[in-house]
Amino acid sequence: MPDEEVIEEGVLNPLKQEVQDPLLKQIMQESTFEPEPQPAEIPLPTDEVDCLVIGTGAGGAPLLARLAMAGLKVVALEAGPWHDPKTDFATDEKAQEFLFWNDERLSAGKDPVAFGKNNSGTGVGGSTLHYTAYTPRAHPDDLHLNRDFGVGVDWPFGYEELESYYEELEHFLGISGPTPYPWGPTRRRGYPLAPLPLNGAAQLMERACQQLGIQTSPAANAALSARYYQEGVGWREACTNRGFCQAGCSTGAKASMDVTFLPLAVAHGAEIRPNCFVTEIERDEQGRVTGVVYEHNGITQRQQCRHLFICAGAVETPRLLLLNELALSSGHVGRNFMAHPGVQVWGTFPEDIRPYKGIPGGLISEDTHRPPDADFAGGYLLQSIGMMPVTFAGQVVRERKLWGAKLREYMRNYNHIAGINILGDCLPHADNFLELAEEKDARGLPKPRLHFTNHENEIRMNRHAEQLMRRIWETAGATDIWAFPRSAHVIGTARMGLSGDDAVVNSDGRAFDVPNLYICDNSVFPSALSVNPALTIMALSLRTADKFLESERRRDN
Amino acid sequence: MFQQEFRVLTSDEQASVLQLVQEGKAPGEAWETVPAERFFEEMLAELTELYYAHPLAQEEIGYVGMADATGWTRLGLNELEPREPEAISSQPGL
Repeated sequence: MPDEEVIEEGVLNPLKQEVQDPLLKQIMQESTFEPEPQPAEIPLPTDEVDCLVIGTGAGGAPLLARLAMAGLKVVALEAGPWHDPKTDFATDEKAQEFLFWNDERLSAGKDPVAFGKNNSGTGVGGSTLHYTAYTPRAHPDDLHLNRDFGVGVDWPFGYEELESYYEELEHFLGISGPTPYPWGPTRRRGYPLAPLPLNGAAQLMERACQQLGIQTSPAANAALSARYYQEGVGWREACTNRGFCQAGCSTGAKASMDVTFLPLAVAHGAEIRPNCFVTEIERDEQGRVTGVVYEHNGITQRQQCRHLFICAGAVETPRLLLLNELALSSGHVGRNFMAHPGVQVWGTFPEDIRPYKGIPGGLISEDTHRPPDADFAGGYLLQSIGMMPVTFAGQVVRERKLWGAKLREYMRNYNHIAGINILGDCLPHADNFLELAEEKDARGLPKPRLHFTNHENEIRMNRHAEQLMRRIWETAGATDIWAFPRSAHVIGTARMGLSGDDAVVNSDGRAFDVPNLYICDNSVFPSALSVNPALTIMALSLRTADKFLESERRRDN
Repeated sequence: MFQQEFRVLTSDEQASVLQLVQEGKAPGEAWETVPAERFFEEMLAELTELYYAHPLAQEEIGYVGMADATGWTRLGLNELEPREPEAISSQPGL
């Protein structure tokens, strides 16, 4: 065994790695092999950075740029590699699976959430490398489910705190969308670019909704409908309607973090270190974070920092906190795990649809944001969906249980199949949470286990939505209609609130327990929202950076 | 069930074994410890995704998304680019 790492005085180090595999244990006991002597101490870089950011997705990248632009010395650690989309990304779903966080996550509960694709990402840019780029704003009442329905918790601030950031993001990222936007409060500025063109599924949904009296609109998408000049980045070319957003955009038209905020951050002096997996967060006797220990290509490194920003997503963020016994006093780390109800409805049409073309989420309706006939709290949005064959075939066999000749027969309809789905609010429930499992990963760290069960509110919302979507597809002329129940996104495992009794971070994103620790990603969401989370994560990221900079200025004066 | 190795069975016999595994009704000791329905679903999803990642299987279903290098401009219903092959039959399912 290598020598035990010598721990500096006053630094807490709760991690103990152990060999689990009985065969490996036996081999190690019997072996006379002596490992090379390891340096006892991890080299201590003399430089301390102002701000260290863990994760470069929608939570980490915007604040990294903001802090760098304020003249601070900032470094970001990213677990995954740095890709060049133009040369590394293929139009091949299987080949693109390297964009997903594929370390095993254990899934439990009555409706275990599927991990890997859809819910997680790795690489410089995080999950934005494979997000669909669907970027609706949250509604003001999304932040007040408790006030309006007496369930869940309210956000510690109102919509006015997010509004200016939404506006800034829409213009910085070059979001394509309708002006005026048909739902929600009147906006000071419209979208900078016209909506992207509608594909076959979007046209079918538009046609049927018109007959049923449901208002629709081309959706807001963070992909360019025209060439766009971006501050600190340069010209980005328009979307070519490849339809491959969920497996990586090779043209740079989709506003993932690696073509927007991250180059801006680098232009202002930020340093991004790929392939760096953080294992430990070190503290002094007062409980302030002093730095982190991370693995880089098999070598253990340390980086000291004055402030730490954890932006690792709603699984890895609480996992890091639990592993390091950090910021746990509220008892809410890992709790309040939410996943959006996202039932899909598919149908077969006489028209030639070619579902691989165009932005996948072309059309939206938010008429169901607060349905008058709802028997549940909150609401949902409706969207048309395009789909790629591999992902679709996997869903077909799971739900319809087809194989052999029957599967091939159904899949031959691929070009005639179109879908709609919803994205709806989810409530926090006591039995939906993340914990550390006994089972260890390849690094010797406990794997995360996530429990998820849909409760009455989610079940009723999915039922309401499925009935409505079946009606829309029947009106559009579909036959062989079927529904695929699913949950999307992982949210809420280190929530934000007004008091350290029932929340992990305050309304500025700062941990109640640790004065120089900030958290910013979907784990801080107090409620799940009735819209896709990416734009709101980015808005929170800019806001967290601004709140941090304000507090630093106050201290300087 | 047929007292023979799976691979020497006729394809109809193989299909009935698979059917029983899918339904969780297959006889044999192995299925007393492994949840058959779950096992079948995971295996089927994995194999199906691999199958439809193959160019020949993609050709069979009329997918030509891989030909996207220059992008698509004709996106709407019944709108095809010159390089998109026409459907073999205009009637779905035939």
